[in-house]
Amino acid sequence: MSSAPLCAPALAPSALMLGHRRRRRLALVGYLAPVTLFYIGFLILPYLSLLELSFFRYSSAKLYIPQFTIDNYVAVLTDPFYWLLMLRTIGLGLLVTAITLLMGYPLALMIVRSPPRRKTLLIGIALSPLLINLVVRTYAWLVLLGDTGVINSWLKAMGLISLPLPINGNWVSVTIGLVHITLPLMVLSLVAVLENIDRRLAEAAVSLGATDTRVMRRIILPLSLPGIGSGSLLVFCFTISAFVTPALLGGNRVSTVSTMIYQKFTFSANWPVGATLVFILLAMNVAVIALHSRMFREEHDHV
Amino acid sequence: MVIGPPSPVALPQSAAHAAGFAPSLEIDGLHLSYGGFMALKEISLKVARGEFVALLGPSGCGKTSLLRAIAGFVHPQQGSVRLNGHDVAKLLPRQRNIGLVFQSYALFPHMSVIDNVRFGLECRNVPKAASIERAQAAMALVGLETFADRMPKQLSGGQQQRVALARALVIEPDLLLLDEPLGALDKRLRVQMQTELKALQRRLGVTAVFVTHDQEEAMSMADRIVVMRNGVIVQVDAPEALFAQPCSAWVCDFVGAGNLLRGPLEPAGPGRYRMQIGPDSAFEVDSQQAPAAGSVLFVPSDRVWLDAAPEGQGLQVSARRYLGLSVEITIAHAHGTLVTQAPLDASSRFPVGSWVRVGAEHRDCRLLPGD
Repeated sequence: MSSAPLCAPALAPSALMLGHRRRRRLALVGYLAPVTLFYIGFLILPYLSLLELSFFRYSSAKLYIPQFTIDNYVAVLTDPFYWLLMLRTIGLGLLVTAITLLMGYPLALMIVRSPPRRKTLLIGIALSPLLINLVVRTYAWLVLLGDTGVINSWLKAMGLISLPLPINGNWVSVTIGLVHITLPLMVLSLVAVLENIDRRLAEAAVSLGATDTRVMRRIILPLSLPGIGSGSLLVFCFTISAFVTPALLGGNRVSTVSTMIYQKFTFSANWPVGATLVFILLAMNVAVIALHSRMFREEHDHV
Repeated sequence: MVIGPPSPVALPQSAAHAAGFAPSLEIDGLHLSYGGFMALKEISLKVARGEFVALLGPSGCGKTSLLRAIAGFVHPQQGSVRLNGHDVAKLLPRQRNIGLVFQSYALFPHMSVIDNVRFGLECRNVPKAASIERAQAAMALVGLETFADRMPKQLSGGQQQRVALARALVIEPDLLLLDEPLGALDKRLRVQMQTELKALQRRLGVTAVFVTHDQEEAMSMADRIVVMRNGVIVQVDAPEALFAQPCSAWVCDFVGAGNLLRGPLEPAGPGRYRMQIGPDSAFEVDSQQAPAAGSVLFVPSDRVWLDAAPEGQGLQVSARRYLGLSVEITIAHAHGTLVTQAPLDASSRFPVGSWVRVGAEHRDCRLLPGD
């Protein structure tokens, strides 16, 4: 750097700093560019085009007319049919969340308390639903639950039933399928939080005279609430947005917002309303995430 | 923090204590192993009511295992633990009426300080108002009256330690167990807490057993010290006795009681032996039998006298360590080094490299089995 002028030293360091900062920012942009472009291209742009579509006019002749209107939103939000649809979807979400929580919590506890080798095995079993393709998994349930499926055939062969149980092509099979798929999400969220609860806390409680029930009720459960919250959030959002499972396991009787979107874009050929429903669903997800954020807001230290 | 004037009854008395029960701890022939590893061997110990006993030893000596066996978290394969004369083998930890204080405090992070302290009373179904009152009394004992509604994470280490203590004491346990309770505190706070803890224990008269690897801490707090090594009890004594008469070279070394001189011992008269460590420096010790092979001569650091020697003759001072009020002088000799202490003004005669001679009264010297 022999060309650097020997002038006021106060100038030189700040010039260098600016160079560093700018260089660092460029580097950051460089690292984030591929991911950003991916998301812009495959998420933001499609969503924007759908958003535009939701404000277009429906036409039975063409798929849509590029004329601005808010009719679609008005129609959807004032029609009891759609409200019922949303309520049923939310209800499904709540049901699946409750079941996965009740099933997942004891499993998570068992995993956390197991010696290392058994722990790995149990985590493997708990994650196994994620290892198979979603569609294949769902069809497997059809095999199990169908009228001539495994369960009904066995029960019939054993003489316990004469008519097949109505466990397929309805909300029962959809619920079962969704619980199966989302249970790993709940279990993992719970295990992550339960693992981090200091074991000494339970020992301290026990030394003070707490029964196992009290330890669970007053120590473990309260401290695992963040895990319950994040697990429930994951399961709920996945469930209300799920398409494959309600579509395949619901026969034609189960209708959720997702399956309705599919219907609007295919059979009904009402693309604008379909796009509107997309954003209704998005709003439902965002509302739940916001609710979760507020409930589990990290408290800052006021020391 | 200043504890108020001593009063005989610090906590509201519960019925059981009013009956004049005599809590004590008795361990007999305890054996404990994990898998193939023998953690405790043939442990026997009696702790009197109101005594403050330290379990002292290096890492892995079994002191924490012993504490956990007393608490009931591990079950010994052999031997018995008796609290108040009752065999507690069949009792779960929660039934043993012990107070436990952990090194990491283990305060319940989601509960306020007062709820933490009340927890043990809640478990005993004490009505809420009464439990709050007793918890506040316990917090006053440790000087945290105004901290009732704070959360643990808002407290400093020393404050959290006091909450843990209050929580353990409020249930009026028969026995207080502390697992390296002051380990996480800085030196100055640790020394302060040692004094407070000891004063509190004295005032309440609660039997206490605490685990530590810090011999200074054990010396300053305990009525008796149980020195452990590799799962066995090596020596049990009051601190002064332990210091003056360690039973083996290892104990002496661990406790820092004084100098261990390893060298040849020659007979120097009936029942007396001598170890020469320099031209004018020797130590003599009384012993009925001939010293066994590997015996070590022990002489406390403050019993070694120091005198100037002519230039080039004798031993040389190899190091000095300034301790504030005195100086620790290290002298090199034929078989190693030894240390002695001298007051600040006197020590100025002996800079590093100066020539000295040393010795001690034969009464102060002892022969210890080496190991």
